[in-house]
Amino acid sequence: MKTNFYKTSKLLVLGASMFFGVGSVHAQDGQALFQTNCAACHKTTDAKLVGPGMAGITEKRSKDWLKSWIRDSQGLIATGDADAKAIFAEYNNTAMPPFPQFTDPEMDALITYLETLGGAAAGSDTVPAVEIVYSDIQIAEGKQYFTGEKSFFNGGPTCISCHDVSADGVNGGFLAKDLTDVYTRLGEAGITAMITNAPFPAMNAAYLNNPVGEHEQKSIAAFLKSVSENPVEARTSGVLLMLTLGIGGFVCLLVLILLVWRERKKHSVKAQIFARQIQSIN
Amino acid sequence: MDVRSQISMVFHLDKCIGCHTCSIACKNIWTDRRGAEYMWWNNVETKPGTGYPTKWEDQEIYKGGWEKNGDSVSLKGAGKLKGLKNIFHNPYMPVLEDYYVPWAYKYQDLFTAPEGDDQPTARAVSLITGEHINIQSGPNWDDDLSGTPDYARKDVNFQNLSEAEQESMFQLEQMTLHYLPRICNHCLNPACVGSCPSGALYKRGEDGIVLINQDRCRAWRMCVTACPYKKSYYNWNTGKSEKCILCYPRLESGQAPACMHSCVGRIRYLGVMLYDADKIQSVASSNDDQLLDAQMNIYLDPNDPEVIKAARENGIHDSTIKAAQNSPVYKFVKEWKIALPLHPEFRTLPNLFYVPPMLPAMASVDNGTYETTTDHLFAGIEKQRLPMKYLASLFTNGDINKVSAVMRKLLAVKIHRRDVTVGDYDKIELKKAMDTAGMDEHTANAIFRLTSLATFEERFVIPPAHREESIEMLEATADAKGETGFGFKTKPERGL
Repeated sequence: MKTNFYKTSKLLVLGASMFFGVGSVHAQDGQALFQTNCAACHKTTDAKLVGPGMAGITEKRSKDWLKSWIRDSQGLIATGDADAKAIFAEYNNTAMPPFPQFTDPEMDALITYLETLGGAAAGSDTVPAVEIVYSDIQIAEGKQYFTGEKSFFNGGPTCISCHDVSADGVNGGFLAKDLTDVYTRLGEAGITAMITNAPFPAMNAAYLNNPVGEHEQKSIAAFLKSVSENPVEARTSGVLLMLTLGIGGFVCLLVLILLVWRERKKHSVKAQIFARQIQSIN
Repeated sequence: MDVRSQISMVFHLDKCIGCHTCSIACKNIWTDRRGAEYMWWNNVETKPGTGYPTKWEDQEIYKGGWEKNGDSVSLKGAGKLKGLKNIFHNPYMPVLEDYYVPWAYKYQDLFTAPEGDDQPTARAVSLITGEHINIQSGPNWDDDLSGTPDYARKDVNFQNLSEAEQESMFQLEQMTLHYLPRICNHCLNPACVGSCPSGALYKRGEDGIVLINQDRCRAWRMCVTACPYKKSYYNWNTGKSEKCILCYPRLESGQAPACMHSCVGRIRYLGVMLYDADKIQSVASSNDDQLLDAQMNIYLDPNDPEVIKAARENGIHDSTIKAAQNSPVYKFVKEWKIALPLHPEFRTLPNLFYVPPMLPAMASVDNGTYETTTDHLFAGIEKQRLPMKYLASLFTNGDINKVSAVMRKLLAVKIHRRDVTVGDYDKIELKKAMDTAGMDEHTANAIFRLTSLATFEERFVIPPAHREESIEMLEATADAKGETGFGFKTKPERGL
């Protein structure tokens, strides 16, 4: 009886916490959501980062429009919405990743938070675009980090395992976007923001417990800048070589097997007997 | 001298009538299970013939047994490098078709078939796939067929015979057959044990029975290839290999193995042989022409006081030594020298010996008459239908003299007994036969007695297994004294 009561009370507590938990998504949660999902590309002022600054956005756009843009910006563009198309064109046709995972209360909380950011007046830190100059050492180091020649201090995965760039000696993965022109699109701020807090679930998870250090981020940005300025188009891809070697190696292996096991027993000892019997039946 | 005891056997081929009772007894007890349908731990082959699995004697196909390698031996098809090469796919293994596809008939169809113009038939179904099959072969498909082109003419033992000699064996005047019952030889130098990568096979210390530990077997099937007699089988259902266990549970309780107990012709003898384990390597690696003699010399005289002393020092029980002294196998193999191992050239030192068969004399066609009479009642061994060369290929690694010596002894016994019981045999011929065979009356009578009149106890001299002592090596039997009786595993509860 005692154990039963204990179980029931535990269930009650659990149920209650669930019930009260549901309705309580507040603006504070909106801020947290913004930090994790949006801050990589959007500033809370009206300064551009990767995407536009968010100050006063709720005055510029309707809530519904914002919601559908956040849910699936490409979908919205596809519907032919003029504003959406214009923004997409304005930001070099860089698509904003969709966020279908936001629940309705979360979305509300996020909008509520955006409302608190106030009007255009709140932001005045528009930074004039100043070209950052990197040293050759930084670029070289960035390449090492990118290719994995040098591992990240915290042990995060190297960029090359998913990304490719048009640079000499780099044959990266095809799992994620080619980063050759990423510097032109995002700039250093964008790149570092992406690395620190990627809005892509896979990348986010990859660096969640082993973040990339500030110095490392800067080096990578330096490397990516140099790549975007001098992309090497005619680099040896190695795909053809690998394919040839692979097929060639496979054929060699087959020949080797045929040679090493050339004296193997190939048929049932009775094969001849059976063949003769079948012949005589026919 | 490292004296060990070995349960050995003699099969007297002259007495085998090819009834397969031994095979059925074994099948009913041990291999009447899923995955073991195709296995015949005991099988009876017709010779000349290809046997089961087909052409098992041809080690160029199956790569079984040992090869001489300097003053040692190495496995023909397994071992470190060769084994590793074929560890994931071993092409030298017999496939199911080399044995046969086991089948049953759908007898139920005879009762359930709808009424029609034709008689219902019970079609054959594979015991492995359950689908209809055309039966193409069985474990004794060429039973009693000694002249078929498919089986008899492909006998591996013909390799040493010339074309003409082979051809003459299939002429009516000379055609014959005999049976060759086979079980595991429980060899002194077992190739199966040597080949196992998992160490699952072992030779029991107390009686030399070769067994496969079913817990340790990892289905590499190297033993299937390595055994030149193809007496290790793979169970496709359990994924373990199995072989003849010489009915050790029966032996341990003093009973003869099932195949031997059930033998209608009473061809089988079982007894202990003492041998010198120190000599195994030198014997197994001796030259081809000395191999047989070397094997015969590895067995020790159980009446020799020195052997008895060394045996006792090795922990062999007095009762086992006594069994070795009374062993019918020792008499056949060592005293009378009329039993020979099957294919000693495989170098596994098999412990199953065969008394070769005396077959009828050759006939001749004279003036259109099929003539079977001979000058004397029993024709000499050179007139035997089965050429000595063929028997030599089976039992003495091609040495005709050795197998002829055995045949002459058997013939002498036969003539002697004719003289004793009927008394019509030419005395000069009798003396000639006895002298050339080196046979005396006393031995001839002893051979006759053990061959024809032996009692169960004389044919099977089984040493007591002393299980009551061996269990004490594994557990302290006094531990359970005073515990709950009647087989309770936990204390019985009281009340409701």
